[in-house]
Amino acid sequence: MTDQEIKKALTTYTQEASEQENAVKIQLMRQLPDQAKKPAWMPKVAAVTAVMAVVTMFFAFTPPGEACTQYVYANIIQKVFVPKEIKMNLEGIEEDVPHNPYDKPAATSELAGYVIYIDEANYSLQEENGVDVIRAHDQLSQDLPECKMEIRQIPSCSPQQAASEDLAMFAGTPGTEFLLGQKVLTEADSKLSIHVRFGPSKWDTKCVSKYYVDNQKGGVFVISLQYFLEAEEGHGERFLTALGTFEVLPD
Amino acid sequence: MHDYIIQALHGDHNAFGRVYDTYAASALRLSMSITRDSALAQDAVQEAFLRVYRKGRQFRQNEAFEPWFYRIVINESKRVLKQRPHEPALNDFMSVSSFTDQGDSLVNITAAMATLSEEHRTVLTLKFVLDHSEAAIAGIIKKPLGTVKSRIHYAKKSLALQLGRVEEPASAEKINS
Repeated sequence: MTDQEIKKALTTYTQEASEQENAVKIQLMRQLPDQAKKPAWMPKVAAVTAVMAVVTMFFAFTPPGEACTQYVYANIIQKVFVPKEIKMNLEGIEEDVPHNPYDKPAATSELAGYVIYIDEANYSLQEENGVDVIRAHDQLSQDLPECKMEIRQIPSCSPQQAASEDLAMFAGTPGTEFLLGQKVLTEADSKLSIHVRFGPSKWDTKCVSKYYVDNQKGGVFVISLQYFLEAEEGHGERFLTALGTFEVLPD
Repeated sequence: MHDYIIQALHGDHNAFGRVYDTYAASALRLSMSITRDSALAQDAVQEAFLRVYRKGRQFRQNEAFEPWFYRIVINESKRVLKQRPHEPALNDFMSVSSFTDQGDSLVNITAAMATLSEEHRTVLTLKFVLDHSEAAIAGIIKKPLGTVKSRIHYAKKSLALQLGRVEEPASAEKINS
């Protein structure tokens, strides 16, 4: 098939849509706002005023005692971590994807709270047996390796210790390939991660990346990203974006 | 960059109308290839232009306008498709004339396009309908040139196969990644 034939075929295929140019223009021009624009600083002033009003209300109605501390904390978290659009490069296309913060307070004194931003239009977080699991609303075929992100917190365990145990486990699993080479873990390693692939490089090969984050209380967050090779630029990229927003909350 | 594009990006309606007239047909064709639905393509292109209008002031003038604009069209097309991910029936976008002079070929092309991936339809349209170079396509979809060449190669091969212009290989071809 020649290039000319391809051009002709595609031009024919898209012809009807291109003929709607004027119809779209009429709709579009109706939606353009008036040209007299508000000054750019107006929204900022409105936002500052709104925050001040909320803070005033907050001090006027805050309950006393421990409930008060929790109330203050929750309010601060909600004010600091607000919904935002995060720039993502999905399969080569840059998009501003709306994300909402999910905050999990510390359940006990030796565990830490954390915040992570989730693309709630496509994913949700659920706790399953003490592990927070982020999954897509629309699951792919059950024949494919599951795509998910897990956040597990282990008390009284250093990142090095947790990573060493996982390394030993992966090394003992037949067919496992370490993608970035087998890491030598040291006490000085502050950003620990392990990347493995279970089998040869095929489109549906399961991949797991584990990241180890100090919880600042003698424990560790083990964050695991799981997907298959073909989904690396889709789910993989989205999980990595979420990981980039992960923050351990101070007490 | 043309002055009228800069004026349009700063909210000048007349200049914006001129930008629309320059790029609308190409945008509609590109969106049609991605969504495979004329109504969705219209929605996507309308939203894309509105986004250009709203975000115009954020556009960096040392950037090229076309890659930025076509990326917005691609994003909006994917977004509307996600919101209404129905599989268009063949007669969804067949006008009466489609069944007369060009009818058979359009039915064949429509069926063939349905078998191609969204990425393949996008690069084919950018190259063969919008006449962009492979390097320009790489800039639009933000992929390496090698990936663009590979996608075009496989998309052409697949389209030709679907349109019955080449013989299907006797044995299944293995693609080793």
